[in-house]
Amino acid sequence: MAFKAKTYKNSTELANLSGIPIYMDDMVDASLRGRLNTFLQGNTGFGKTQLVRDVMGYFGDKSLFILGRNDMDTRELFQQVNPEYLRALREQRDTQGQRFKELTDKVGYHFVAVDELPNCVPAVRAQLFNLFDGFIEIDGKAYPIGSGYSIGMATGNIGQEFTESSNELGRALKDRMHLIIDTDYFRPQPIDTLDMLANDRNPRVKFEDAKDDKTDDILEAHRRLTDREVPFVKYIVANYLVHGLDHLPEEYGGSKTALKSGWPNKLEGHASGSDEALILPVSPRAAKSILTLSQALDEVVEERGGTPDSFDSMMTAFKFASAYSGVLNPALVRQTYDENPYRAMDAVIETTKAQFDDKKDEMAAGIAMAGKGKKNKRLLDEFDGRWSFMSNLLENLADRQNETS
Amino acid sequence: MKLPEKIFGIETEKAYEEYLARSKTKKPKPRTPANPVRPPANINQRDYIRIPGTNTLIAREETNKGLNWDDTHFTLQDSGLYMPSQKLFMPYFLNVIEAAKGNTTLYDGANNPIPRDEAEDLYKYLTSGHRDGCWTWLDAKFEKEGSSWFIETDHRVAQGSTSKTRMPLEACLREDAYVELDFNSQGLATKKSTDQDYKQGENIYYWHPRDGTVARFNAGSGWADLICGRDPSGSYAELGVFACAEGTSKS
Repeated sequence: MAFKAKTYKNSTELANLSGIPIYMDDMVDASLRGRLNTFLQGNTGFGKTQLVRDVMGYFGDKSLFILGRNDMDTRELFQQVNPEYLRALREQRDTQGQRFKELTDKVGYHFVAVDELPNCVPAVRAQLFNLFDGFIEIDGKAYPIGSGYSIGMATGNIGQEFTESSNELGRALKDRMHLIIDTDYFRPQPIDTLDMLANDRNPRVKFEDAKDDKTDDILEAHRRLTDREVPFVKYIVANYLVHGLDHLPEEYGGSKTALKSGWPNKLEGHASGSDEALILPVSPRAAKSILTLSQALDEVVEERGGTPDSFDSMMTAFKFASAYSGVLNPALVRQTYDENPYRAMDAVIETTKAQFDDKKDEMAAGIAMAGKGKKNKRLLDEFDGRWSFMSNLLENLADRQNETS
Repeated sequence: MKLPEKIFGIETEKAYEEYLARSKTKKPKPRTPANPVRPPANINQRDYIRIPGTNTLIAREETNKGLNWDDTHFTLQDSGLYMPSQKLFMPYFLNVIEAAKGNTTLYDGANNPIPRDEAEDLYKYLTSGHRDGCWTWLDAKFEKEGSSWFIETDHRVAQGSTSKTRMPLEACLREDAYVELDFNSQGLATKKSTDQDYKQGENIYYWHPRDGTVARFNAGSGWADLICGRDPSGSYAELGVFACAEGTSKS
């Protein structure tokens, strides 16, 4: 399966992996394979909604389009009055045991699109938490949606200039948006604009008909991705992002997370100049998204004839999953990176690469050591500071090895 | 979970054996370059030494003397060469110390082992006033923005345009002191030496990063300094650079 938007055109590279350019289509493709919710934010009129509509076309008639508004009640979309109940009422039969409302066939839909998501007030947006988590709650009961595969995509503008917008997505919803792409940094190229204008001058979003149903292909691609083996190095990178990035010198208590609201203002001197003051660790939930997106990107690269590089695809996934997730220090992004979170992520990635280059020999040696169930103190001590997680990991892997042998 | 036999292209078993062998003899990381390199045609490979774990060659002696930091970059790039950062230079410095002790072997650009007496000569050159000592620019510029510190490195000039890598400064020692020969991944000192007197081959004097300055490594009679606080516009007749040549792996 390879997603190709029918109407939306954008040949700007979002990343380059093993010499294979990754475009917006590829990123959406990877999110569909990985079942990762995506939020497209950016200025109006550059095709965010069109891209979402193009994705809807891939799901035939099994997708839902919701316009974000303050009187929205998502539960109403998934339930309807039970005709059996009405008939019994009309015929004056006993209605006991019959529900007034029943689930609609929308509960089997795979794709939920929410346009102008930030326009809803937070209380209304909260209704979408469950939808993006893959279920709907009605009368205290949770019903899974999408028969095993459900995914959400949303669009919107963030910023004071968009007066109708409620502006912030909120941490809980951001957490459910596994991938947030700011389309302002990846605007279509002039040739895309030319093609788009030459093709159609109707300024309205084009609604594709449902004849191109590729739901089965998407589900199959998702199943294939779930079965794909995860290279061990990705687990190490994920651990670095969760634990290594949490490290602080002992004088600051050893952990950014434990410093709570003291981060980053309490960091002084050299600590405020390193990435220690720039980024928080990613959550274990975000690490799952990064791992999944990286796996999906590897598959995209493979299908385009490239040889995936696990570390690079993890870094690209980290960049796009985390730039807007709330882990960056916004003051530093504003002050030092021209308000561009992707530039800040590039700086963090540069440091991460240097860190891994510096430790790869010891990592290789440590893995062989753990595989033998051994714990060489000198080797374990090589992993200090932000790498102390690796020492812990190797010790525990060695223990497990001893338990199983 | 099955542990991999290879990671980052490195065979784990071999890496472990090599680590154990090194730790027994207290030798540093492998010093024999894994890949042959193809340096620019206009250099004599015997005048260069391989920097361990990289495809980079570094000149045995300084060249391009009497230029400021910017002009040194430009003249080097004209010859297809470039200035070493301390990230490259400090591991090389440590390797020379180990080679002088007989713990490892240096290799020249043509992959010939360098005899121990030559390694000792090089060691003295980098750590004392032997042959009038050494004086070299390093490719690192330090900048403070607000409360944040950055390092700019990997300056390259190609077809009239320049490029560089800018990244946040990693945690490093932020005071001027004699330091242990223990450097972070950016090649900056992390530990103050317990002995605040110069001990040749055991410590160096370190000047911590200052805003708007660049790095240099100097050695003279009774001292060796890594200075992260020099004015890039300065130039002295004795000040040059240990030029680097980037090789590409032969396939």
